[in-house]
Amino acid sequence: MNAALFTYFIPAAFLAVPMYKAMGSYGLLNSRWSLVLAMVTLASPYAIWVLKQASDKLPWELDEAARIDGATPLQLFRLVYLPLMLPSLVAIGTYAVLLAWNEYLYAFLLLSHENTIPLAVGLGHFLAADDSPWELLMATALIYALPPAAIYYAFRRYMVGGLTAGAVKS
Amino acid sequence: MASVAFNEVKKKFGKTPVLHGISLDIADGEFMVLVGPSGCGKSTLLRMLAGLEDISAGTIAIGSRVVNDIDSKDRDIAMVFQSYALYPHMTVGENMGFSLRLRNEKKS
Repeated sequence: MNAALFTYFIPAAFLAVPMYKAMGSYGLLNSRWSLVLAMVTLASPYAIWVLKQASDKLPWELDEAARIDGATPLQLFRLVYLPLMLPSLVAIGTYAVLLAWNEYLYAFLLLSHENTIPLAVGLGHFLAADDSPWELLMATALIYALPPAAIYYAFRRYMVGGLTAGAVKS
Repeated sequence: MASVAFNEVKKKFGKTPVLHGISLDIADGEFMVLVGPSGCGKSTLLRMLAGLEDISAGTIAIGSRVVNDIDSKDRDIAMVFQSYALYPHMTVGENMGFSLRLRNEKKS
């Protein structure tokens, strides 16, 4: 787990070329999947770390209580552990979505076709032409900023702490 | 309710013997209290009866049924944990009805 976290010591710019070559050798360049895979790779170490911390905090007694109640391992996971992990899952999900939404470097490198580039790269294209349509750029940027705000607003009520408080007497 | 019978029950954690052969009969409806200093094995014995710990040697019977190899859920018992162990995301009713829900009992 720590080895996964260690990858954050390596700057993204340093990883960009190997990532480009790897995607090229799998024939994924210019396909949306390349960016999806790259973003999953970038978000995973942090997700692993946060979810490990969260799952370690779940009290062991709940497992035994559920076993006496007759829960199968799958039911235990779905009905007891997953609801208690929900705040962590939402937090890490929001983090991963925003990370991907804001990504420029990898999106710029891996995708170059007009039909596949994400909006972050598209914004940069406004200034690539001879004229600089600042009013269009700013209008687009405003729209670009709305979905993250909407996502945060929608999932706000799941971002709570202390959901396991009171599960066991400490 | 049913009677409970421990017969030469032993428990080892790894190589460390913890319970050295306990025989005890508890009659149907009897009120039984185990008293002892902490670490003497009261909870271990209870956990073995509940099926949360496996039995190193001897037998435990609930009623006339030896429950050594029966899952905790099929032993038809209930247990209150020292630390409560309530499901914090459920209401009181959901907590109490959790085992019924798992057995797909009808709500009526």
